[in-house]
Amino acid sequence: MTTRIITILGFVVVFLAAGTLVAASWLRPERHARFTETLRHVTKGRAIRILVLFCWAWLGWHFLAR
Amino acid sequence: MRVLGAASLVLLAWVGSGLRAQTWPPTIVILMIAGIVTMLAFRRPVGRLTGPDAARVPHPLRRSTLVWGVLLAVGLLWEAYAFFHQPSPLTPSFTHPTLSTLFDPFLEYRPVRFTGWLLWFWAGRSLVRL
Repeated sequence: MTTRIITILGFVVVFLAAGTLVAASWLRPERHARFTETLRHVTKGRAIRILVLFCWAWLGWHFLAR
Repeated sequence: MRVLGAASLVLLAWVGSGLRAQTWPPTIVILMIAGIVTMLAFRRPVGRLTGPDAARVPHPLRRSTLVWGVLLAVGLLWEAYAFFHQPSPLTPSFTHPTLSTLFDPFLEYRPVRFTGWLLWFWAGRSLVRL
């Protein structure tokens, strides 16, 4: 297995895990909070909210304008 | 009114996806949208739970915060692993592609870029509506 495939597989695993978490929150809401609820919870603080908004803006610039 | 707003965003996404990358116009559009979303996102009151209130956070929420945090950290570490194996910060590596290196060839196509703009707007709208 080449290094390229291993690197790509790493990203695939992370995305699959994220998808599994989202699915788990829909199937077992008593165990896992929804992603939006989690995000609402962590962005109660000013610093994290600014950080999340900055990351969102940077992603837009990086992928769509750069 | 909602239909008009949605149609305006779709139109803006179409215009944005047609702008040449690595020029000022798409950067200005993104900065303007980011500014508006930031202002709207701060209409929601700020205030982290402290003391006994923090202990009353439901268990699933605490678990999800931890799990999503760990997953984000793993994703960022993996991206950093690929990034620091590039020959230089601006030179992509074939053997260690970052997410940008993997997505860039697809983003050459306008329909993909248009979809990207729509997804970015949707994410921004979600951040405002939290």
